[in-house]
Amino acid sequence: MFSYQKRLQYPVNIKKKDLRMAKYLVTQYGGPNGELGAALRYLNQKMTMPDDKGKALLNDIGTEELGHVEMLETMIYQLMKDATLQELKEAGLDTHYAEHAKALFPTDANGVPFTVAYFATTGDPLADLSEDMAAEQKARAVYENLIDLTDDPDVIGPLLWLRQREIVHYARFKELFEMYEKQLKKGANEINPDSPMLYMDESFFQPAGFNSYPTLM
Amino acid sequence: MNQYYDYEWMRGYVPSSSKLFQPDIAFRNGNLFSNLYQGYKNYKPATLNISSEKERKMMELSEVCFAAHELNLYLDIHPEDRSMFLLFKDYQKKADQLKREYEEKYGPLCVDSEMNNNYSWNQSWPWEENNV
Repeated sequence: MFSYQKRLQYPVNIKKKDLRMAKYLVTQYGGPNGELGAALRYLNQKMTMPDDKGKALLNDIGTEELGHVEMLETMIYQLMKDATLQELKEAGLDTHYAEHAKALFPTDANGVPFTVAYFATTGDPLADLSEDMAAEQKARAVYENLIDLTDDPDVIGPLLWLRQREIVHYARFKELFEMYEKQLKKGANEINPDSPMLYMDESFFQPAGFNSYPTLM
Repeated sequence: MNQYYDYEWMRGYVPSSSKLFQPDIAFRNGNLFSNLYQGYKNYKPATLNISSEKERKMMELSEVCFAAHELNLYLDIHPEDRSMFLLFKDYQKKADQLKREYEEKYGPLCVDSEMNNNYSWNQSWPWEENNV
């Protein structure tokens, strides 16, 4: 289960309203490379990781990503909270206002709503970790694009920090991926000998003898 | 050396700690591991201004919690690294102590805190105020 700590993982104190930036930032909340997708993807994939290392890493990075969701929500909220209706219209957020008023809604920067398709989970640990590594790199790249779009130091600070977290998470996923790949190459069964999902031994791939087929009738 | 408090309690442990930033620097960078750190263009990590005792306490807590969390992720896939584990335990202990000190003065950070005496839990949310 989860419990809440009443603090942000890294401080967010944005003093200047900036509706255009809010419109761009929302993609790291509800877009394809955003924190909501990352958190839910990892917490979903942790179930079928083949050993303790994988379960722990996916669980703990997924949990941290929930903290990043809260940071993004805070940034968007603080950028928008003092806006007038006229200012929302001028920034192109009138369509947002029509459906959500000033509430937050997870979409990408073009307003496309969050979708669970972003989970992109196959159940194959190597495929899933490749997806996770790509997700961290894509999120890093998007944070860089967002940093390029603003000159407000109150916005740049948390964005630089979140970008750095993508780099660390990528490195951890990559280490785990390489551990699994090495074990797979060795044909090791010892990752979890009880897991039917992983690394069947050679006999699995031998053609079954004729006599082993069940007899009909 | 950190200007607010020192880290003598964690000195002298770990050969691998030479690759680690001190918690205050690590927190500003968003990265405890100097070999993993990658900057962007010419940007420098933000300077975090502190304007009250409450903010200073929160900052200390955030720094040590962050260092412990970084080691937590590392240990997930390197559980056999004894020296990193000892450092993790130290940061965790320090974090517990700082959390207690903060809650005694400024109210609960978790709803199950002992400091939740007169139900102040429903006040003061981190997205709404100066929340360093």
